[in-house]
Amino acid sequence: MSQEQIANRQLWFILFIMRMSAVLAFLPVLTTADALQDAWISVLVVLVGSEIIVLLVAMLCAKFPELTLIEYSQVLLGNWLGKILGLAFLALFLQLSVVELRLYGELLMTGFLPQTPLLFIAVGMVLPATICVQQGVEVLGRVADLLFIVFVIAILIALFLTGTEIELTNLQPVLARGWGPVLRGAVVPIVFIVQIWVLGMLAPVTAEPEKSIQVALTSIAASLFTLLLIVLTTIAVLSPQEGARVNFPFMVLMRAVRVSKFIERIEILVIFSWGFGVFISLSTFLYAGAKGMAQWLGLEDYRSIIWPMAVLWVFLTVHGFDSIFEVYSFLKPSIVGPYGAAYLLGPLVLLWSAYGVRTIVNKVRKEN
Amino acid sequence: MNKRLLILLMISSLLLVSGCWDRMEPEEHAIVIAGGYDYDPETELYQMIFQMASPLGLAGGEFEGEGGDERFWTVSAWGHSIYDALANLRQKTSRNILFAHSLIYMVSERMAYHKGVLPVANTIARSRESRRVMVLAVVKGNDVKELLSTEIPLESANALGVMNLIDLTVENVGGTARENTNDFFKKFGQPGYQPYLGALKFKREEDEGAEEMADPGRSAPIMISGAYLFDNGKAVGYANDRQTRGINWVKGEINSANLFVPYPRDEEIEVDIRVLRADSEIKPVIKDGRPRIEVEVNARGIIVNTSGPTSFKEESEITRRIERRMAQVIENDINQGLEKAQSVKSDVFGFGFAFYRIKPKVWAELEEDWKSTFAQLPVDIDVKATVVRSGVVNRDAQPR
Repeated sequence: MSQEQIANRQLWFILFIMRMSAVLAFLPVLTTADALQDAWISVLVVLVGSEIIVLLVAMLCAKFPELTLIEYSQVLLGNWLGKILGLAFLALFLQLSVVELRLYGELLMTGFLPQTPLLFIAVGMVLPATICVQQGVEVLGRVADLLFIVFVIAILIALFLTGTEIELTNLQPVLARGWGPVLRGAVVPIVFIVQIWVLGMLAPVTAEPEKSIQVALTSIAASLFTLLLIVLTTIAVLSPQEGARVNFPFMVLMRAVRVSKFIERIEILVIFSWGFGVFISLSTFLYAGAKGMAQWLGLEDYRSIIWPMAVLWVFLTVHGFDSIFEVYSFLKPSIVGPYGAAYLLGPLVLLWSAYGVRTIVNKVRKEN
Repeated sequence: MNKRLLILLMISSLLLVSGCWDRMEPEEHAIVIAGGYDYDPETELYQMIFQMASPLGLAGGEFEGEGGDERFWTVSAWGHSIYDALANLRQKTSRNILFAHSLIYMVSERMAYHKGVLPVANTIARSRESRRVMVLAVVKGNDVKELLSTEIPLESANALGVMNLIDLTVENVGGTARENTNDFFKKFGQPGYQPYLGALKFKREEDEGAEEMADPGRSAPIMISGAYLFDNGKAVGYANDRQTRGINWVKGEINSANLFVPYPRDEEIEVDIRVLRADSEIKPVIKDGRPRIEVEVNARGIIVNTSGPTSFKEESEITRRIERRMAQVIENDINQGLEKAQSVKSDVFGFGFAFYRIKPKVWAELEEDWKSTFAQLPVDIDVKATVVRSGVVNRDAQPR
């Protein structure tokens, strides 16, 4: 049986959509802290921070082009420690997708379907993702190919249509309150880059794993550039104070725009594209989680555990948080900040130092 | 076997197509196209007035008789809070009320002064159905219900007529404000900036000027004039046409306005000028340690009519004097608007916002008692007016 493969282009699309959809609707740079009109500078800070982290993760993956994250943690750290770290990664994929799905569910329930049970929305989102992953990672890649264009075009059209309402005075004054608010606004979006650990699961199935560093760096940069445009537009149209107080700024942005007497209600562009984005990232996390779990347990095929995992996801999405306030208190910089930082720095330090030690030991052995 | 199962699955998926929890059928709804609110300070009750559209009536002539002549229906109810009033209103409405298509929400003058517009604006911000493109306005006097129940000549529904009235007045006359909920909140939240909302007036026959109506029974019962100035969400004063136009000059929000100036060679002749473009720039400055504002207005207009023989063939002392007088008219407008806004301490121009944007350090000191600073703020007005065209003719027919 030939190994399933996705093109590097498809990996690029997957990473782009995943990164966008996590931050698209609730724009953490604006809503999680007090950056206000300087939130777009926060995006630049996020860009620099994310790229460093992505570089470190991607370089690690490139050292083991054939192995997944779960496998090479065990190679580097030994059986026990490697297994514990592997489990931590699996938990991370689970949490990330649960938070993302819950946010999308909250958006739908706030904006469109107030009476529909959350369970129904969660099942409705997880079911297609499960089917997609069941078909294999190649299908995931092709779906990303298909949806990427829709995703980007929808967002660009949405931004273009808001053009008439842009008031650049809303962006002033620049940096009047110093760098503190800017950095606080950057915390949550930076730690959301923990998503990049899925690269460790996807890179081995790409056509050219050794090119994954370049793919990851350009993809994340492109998604943050798009985010920059969205943040600038949101602030310019809604004003910073309004953008910061609404739960889903991008949706409200679309609702504050009336293109003409006949074209309004353009928020559907955003909701659709975000829905596609959530679908892609759910599929990716589900694939990464199932594949990782199978390798962790030593199973031959990951497909057999997709369905039980999907059920667990839906359960956690519905019961993990009691209300939207719990979601938002989890997303406060002071809570998710250290938590995410631990998930970024802990594994990075462990794996890189283990790698360093291993190289030195190998060198010493060769010399002897 | 498998095929049958597949077919069964496909058929059962039809069950999902039929709808969901939040399905909406247009014929089961009462579609609100305009909302009005009143507040009685004595009983502390809110009144909610909704104008619902009848889709069959709105469709126009061909359905007449079939859908009935009634094109809209106005219903109202009182309550202790906005949603309490809504609950009472639902008891009188045979259909589910849908707000998503409402065009305008208006509040009565006394509500604007006592409670402000926030009780209404907040429902728009929080509700999932409402949109920030909905326009807010104040009804001069308290005839919200009368205003929303009356028929407007030529218009199929009252709310559509009111909206056209506002749009066209803003577009052609400039003496009012058209602020939607997004505009309102933008200014409400920004430092040193206050919103102002357009004023609607229901004309009663006993009112002054009613005799001007050609046909009192059927003439336009609604007019729009001036704007209410706000502070902290509550109305603090009313600016008339002229004053509102002055405010709009400063804000660069004049799309078009009509001025008349006397012809320099013969003061008996009025020259009508239509301003087609006006830009403005607000510059915050500090002079001798005190804040000042410099306003630069640049207006370009065309001559639309004269009431006697005039001649504007070439650039001359005459055109320059016309332009100077035009500038003078605009400056007078601005002075009137400024005086009004300063007397009620409502910074509708965004002068404080200009300091905040351009001189944030100065603003930090001014913020504390900006309201009293604003009331005394010296403003230098510099108007540059240009007449750019004279219409199809350049000279009037001259008598021999």
